[in-house]
Amino acid sequence: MGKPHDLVQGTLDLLILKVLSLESKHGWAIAKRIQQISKEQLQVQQGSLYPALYRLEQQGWIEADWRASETGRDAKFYSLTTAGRKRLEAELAHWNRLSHAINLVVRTT
Amino acid sequence: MRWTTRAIVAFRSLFRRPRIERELDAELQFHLEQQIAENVAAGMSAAAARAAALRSLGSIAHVKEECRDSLGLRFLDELWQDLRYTGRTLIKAPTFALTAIVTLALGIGANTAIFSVVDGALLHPIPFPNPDRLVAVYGTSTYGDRNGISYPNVLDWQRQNQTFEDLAAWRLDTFTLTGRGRAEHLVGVMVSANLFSALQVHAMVGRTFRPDEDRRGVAPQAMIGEGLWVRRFGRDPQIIGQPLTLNGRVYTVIGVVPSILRLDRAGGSSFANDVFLPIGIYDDPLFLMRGSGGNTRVLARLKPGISLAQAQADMNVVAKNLANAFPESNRSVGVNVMMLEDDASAICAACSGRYSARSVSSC
Repeated sequence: MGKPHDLVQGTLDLLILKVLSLESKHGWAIAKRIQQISKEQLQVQQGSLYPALYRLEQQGWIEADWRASETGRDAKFYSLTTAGRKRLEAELAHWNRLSHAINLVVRTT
Repeated sequence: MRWTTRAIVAFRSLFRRPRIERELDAELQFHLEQQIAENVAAGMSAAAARAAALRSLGSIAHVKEECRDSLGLRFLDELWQDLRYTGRTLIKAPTFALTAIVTLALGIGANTAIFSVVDGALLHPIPFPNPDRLVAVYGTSTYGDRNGISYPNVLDWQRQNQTFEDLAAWRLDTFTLTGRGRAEHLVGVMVSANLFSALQVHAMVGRTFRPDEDRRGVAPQAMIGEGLWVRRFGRDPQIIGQPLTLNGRVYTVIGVVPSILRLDRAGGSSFANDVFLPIGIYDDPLFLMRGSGGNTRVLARLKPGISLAQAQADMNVVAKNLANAFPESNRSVGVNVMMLEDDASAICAACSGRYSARSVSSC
């Protein structure tokens, strides 16, 4: 993933919300998790990740608090808010519609 | 985000700024250390791991900038930078700065001045014949120079002046119309019979008041405004001669006043003129007291060839006579005669809610 543009930015929001839906994580762990689940297909650069996290926090979809990480150092952990959970559902529905529609076009023509 | 939300967020962020910056640093530092640890675990030397981590992270300054942007801080930063840059540039070139400022000031001033004049003179001209002979006549006192005047004083002004063709009185009041379907609350205006000749306005239908109808003890007559005539009576010319009940008193309709005539208070809300009644039949005791505050307004038409200064001098004599005759009420009552046009523009500029000759702007 390079510099975010519309589609990438949109999908990055979805990926972050999805990853946080299971448990709260700090930024590094979010990037790692996305990388791991996508079998290394998706690399999230911090240049895209942190601005996205700040934006999501501003919109009230995620919230942050500082606590000890697994290594003992304090890290900023993000977790999903109730509004964020609703947002995730909406983003998922949107993504499913979009990917289904693109698949239809790609396979048919 | 809507721009209002953005602005609030940015404003709030501004005050929490030091904390936000600290957290941002700490968070990115943490990320960096995690990356270095991972690189070391993969077998790199400490130095190589650090270099590789920094490389993979890209420009930290850029990331921070993007994060600030998400918080709306960048907009404020740039605005502040632009303002300081503007200031520095202007200080460095004082001649240019001064020229620019003076040019803008003169331009804006000239525009405002011209538009004020155009608005008064061209866009809202007084819609009556020979407007250069129309004046507003006010009472003066220690409280102001555009006061209304009591009705007994108006009658003396009419009798004693030498310089006016017609000196007409008017006052606004509210009336309840009943007896014709649903009741309606109306704003009406009481006028002296000569108001129509002073302004040279004619009835659209029927006629205007005769002087002998403008006094107490006669059968009350009324005129209705064009607006009411259209709204309630469907432009029916048969309205002439019919009864009209206002505040429980029955009047006979004798004419319809065209809507170009609208007497109104300047500033504040604008009132319709739905009914016109002769001011002379009004018998409220306070209204008939010479020393009452007096909310009667006066419009007048100068005789041909009479200047504003001549009229003012004439009225000064009248005011002095009245002060001698009725020292108790009139000791400090003077007269202020001004062109109706000037009055309208003065009121536009001040908009202070005084009565005025906005009075006679067309609808």
